[in-house]
Amino acid sequence: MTVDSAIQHWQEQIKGALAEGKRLRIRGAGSKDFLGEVGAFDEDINTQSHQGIIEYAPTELVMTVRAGTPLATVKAVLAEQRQYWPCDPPTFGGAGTVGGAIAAGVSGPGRVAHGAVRDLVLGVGMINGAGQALKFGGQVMKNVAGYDVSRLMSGSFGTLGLITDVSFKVLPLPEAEVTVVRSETLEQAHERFLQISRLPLPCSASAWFEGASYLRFSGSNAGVEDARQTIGGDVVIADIWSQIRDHQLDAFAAAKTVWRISVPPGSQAMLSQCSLLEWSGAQRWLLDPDIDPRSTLSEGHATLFRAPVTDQTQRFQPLSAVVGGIHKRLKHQFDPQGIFNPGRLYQEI
Amino acid sequence: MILSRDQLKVRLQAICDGHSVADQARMKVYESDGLTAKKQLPWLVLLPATIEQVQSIMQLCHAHQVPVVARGAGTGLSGGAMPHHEGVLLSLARFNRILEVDQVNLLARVEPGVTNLAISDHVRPLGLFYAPDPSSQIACTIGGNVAENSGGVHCLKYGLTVHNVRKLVMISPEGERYELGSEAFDSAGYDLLALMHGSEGMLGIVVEVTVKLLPVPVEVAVLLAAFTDVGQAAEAVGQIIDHGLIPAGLEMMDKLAIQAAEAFVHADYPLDAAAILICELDGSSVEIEQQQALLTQVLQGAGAVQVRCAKDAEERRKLWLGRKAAFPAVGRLAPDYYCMDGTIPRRELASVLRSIADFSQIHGLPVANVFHAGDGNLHPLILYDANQPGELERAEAFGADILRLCIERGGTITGEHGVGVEKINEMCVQFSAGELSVFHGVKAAFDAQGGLNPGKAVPTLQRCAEFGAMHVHRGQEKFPELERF
Ligand SMILES: Cc1cc2nc3c(=O)[nH]c(=O)nc-3n(C[C@H](O)[C@H](O)[C@H](O)COP(=O)(O)OP(=O)(O)OC[C@H]3O[C@@H](n4cnc5c(N)ncnc54)[C@H](O)[C@@H]3O)c2cc1C
Repeated sequence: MTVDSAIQHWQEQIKGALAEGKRLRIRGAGSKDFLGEVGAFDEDINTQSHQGIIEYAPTELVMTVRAGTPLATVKAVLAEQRQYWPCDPPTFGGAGTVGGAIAAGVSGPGRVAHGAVRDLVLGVGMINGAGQALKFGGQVMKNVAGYDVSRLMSGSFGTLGLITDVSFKVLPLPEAEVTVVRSETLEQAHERFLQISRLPLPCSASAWFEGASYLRFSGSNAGVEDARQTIGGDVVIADIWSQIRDHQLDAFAAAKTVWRISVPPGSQAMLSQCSLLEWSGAQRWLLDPDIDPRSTLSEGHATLFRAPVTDQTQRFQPLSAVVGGIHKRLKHQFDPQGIFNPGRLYQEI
Repeated sequence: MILSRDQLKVRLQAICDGHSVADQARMKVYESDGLTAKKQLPWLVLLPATIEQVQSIMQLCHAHQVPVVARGAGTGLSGGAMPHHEGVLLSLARFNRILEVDQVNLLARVEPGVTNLAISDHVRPLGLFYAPDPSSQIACTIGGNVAENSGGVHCLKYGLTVHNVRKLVMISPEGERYELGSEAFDSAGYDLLALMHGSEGMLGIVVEVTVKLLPVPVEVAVLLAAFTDVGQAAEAVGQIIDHGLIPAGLEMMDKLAIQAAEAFVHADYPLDAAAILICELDGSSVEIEQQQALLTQVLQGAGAVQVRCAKDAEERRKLWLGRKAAFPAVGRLAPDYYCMDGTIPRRELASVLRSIADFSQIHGLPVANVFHAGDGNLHPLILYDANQPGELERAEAFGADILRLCIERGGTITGEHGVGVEKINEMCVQFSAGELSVFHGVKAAFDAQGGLNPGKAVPTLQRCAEFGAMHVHRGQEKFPELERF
């Protein structure tokens, strides 16, 4: 399908849905079907057939792709030019599309150094709830014309519209990269991660699980070697980071419920209970906790990331009244009849 | 209870304990921002100092449908803080305290009227800094930086304001307090924190900002490369990135800008160069040494006739000073200058520069060029004399030509200075009616009554119809059949 015909096809489906009062579930590879609320829908609108790189000029550090493009394709094409997409979104079950990665806004281990998905989004093409095809942002690094709708789409779980194509910032692959491991307790690792974040070292990822901490340094040969010597530890050859990112660690396989706790890195909240600590301490994963972590969490927020469908617990942290009101009004502006992914993020939107 | 305008004025002044300005002569300092061609006196200037005062002001103004325009330092370059003739100009200047520095989580919580530079100055003894550094950093406020999503000369590596702010405390047009973002790296729901950046005071009043701090790099090197041809300098930028180098800063100045800066601050720039690149590297000592060697090689390969590395901190300061003082320096060459702010894909730099030179001939006005070259963000400075009949109009027509060219080349009409009142017509060129309607929808979701900064940033569809602009489709859409595979 050419760009225009795919968009026209969807516009027709959307207009049909509007006429018949149908609700649509936007879906890419379905790798994150488990994430968020189930929501209510009558039919799928699938982006997987809408694939391909629309534009990529490596010296611009920008790639523009169709929403259904697999993350694996993006990674491979970038790697050919010795570049990468530093936010490194997860590919659960090995799958995942760019559109889904943007809509879910989930970032990988590299988030600490080079930013989250939302930090790298430069522009989107989308279809709103009235069936209009629109473009926001663009292919340049700096752009303040109009409100930043492209970043707003990141993490909106398809509730504001169908993303048709995306432009994002990419970076040159680091010249060198090394991961070091050390056996230590969670508390020791946490303390050390915090110390390292205060040093001007090219630390690009940090994680602790099962009694060992892992630190990744990325940058120039000299800078990485410098950091390795300063920090010490044994060099790891295996690709531990994609296992962490995609929740392939053994403990995750056995878990029924997976909670994601997002707190300031130095926070003590849920520290002792967490099975995986990431992002210098700012991202914590709890497996099968006895009580709802939200009942004691006084800062940050908690997401019930994975749970049996029968679990009625609200997936995302409830919003304050004022912010919830803004959400409802924004949803209404983008999708007045509420046809896109209703209830996937919050009941009211 | 509904008050008369005079009663309302008394009430509003009382809220601020008399920190207000109402007489015409004293209000003159507030009549424009850095875009001095657009002037307007407000009805009343208020200078609150507490969040509760801002809430009371907003509640009263909302109830009486009085427009409110927020103002930081007034250094904006698009008229964003230009007052409304029937409205309150809400100055955040007295919100000037740094409230807290969190050395564990590397955050600073500050009031919106704190200047950009004050944050870095405050945390430098701790070995930390706040990365975005607009050239106006000694004066501009962090609240204004959020409202414009300001950039600086170090944005290539460290990002814009939106990448360096964690949390905002906001006051709604109705006077309600709410928070966006958090001390954690993200928060639940829509990314309203991102949406607030660059929203030009249209969606809410920023009353507190929590920024991210970074450890000061061990070493810094600043290189200056001189070229005899502007096109070569532009090509060099792409080649640097092609070699996998992301400098902390990568700036370019053309001949007129070089000469003006040299005359103004004696930065020791080569006066015979057609263009210079200023390039900063940071990292560990060994790292810098390696990168500097590679960078020098790339620059020479690209045709640089001179590559010089600053020997010490003083020389580095001087090289940056010339760049940071470029606007006022160019300002000395003519009675007035008009600063543009388009962004283009980097590969278009050389050809866009040639077109700007042609426009300069056509409109009969000189232009000096300063860019954030690494980001493709252009700042052509058009020189004119507002006292000469027709010159302002010519300068504006010249500027409009540049902006249209930026859109045609796949870029945007504003990279960091905002739309304000200045580029409102060009918004009709860059966006379709449907897209503009979405912007109005966003505005309505935050400010249903439209009392915040009315008439700015997003044109009405009616205005676009009158302006008669055509929506030019972006370059990327012209050849959809040309796929990479
Ligand atoms: C010499 C010079 C050099 C410059 N260099 C740069 C540069 O390198 N990079 C760059 O990005 N910009 C630059 N600028 C532009 C300007 O400094 C920035 O846009 C700056 O962020 C404006 O801050 P301010 O405090 O002066 O805001 P103001 O001009 O007072 O206001 C700007 C906008 O923000 C809104 N606003 C201000 N405070 C608040 C608040 N608390 N809550 C809600 N809305 C608010 C206003 O309503 C207005 O719309 C330069 C300007 C000058 C004069």
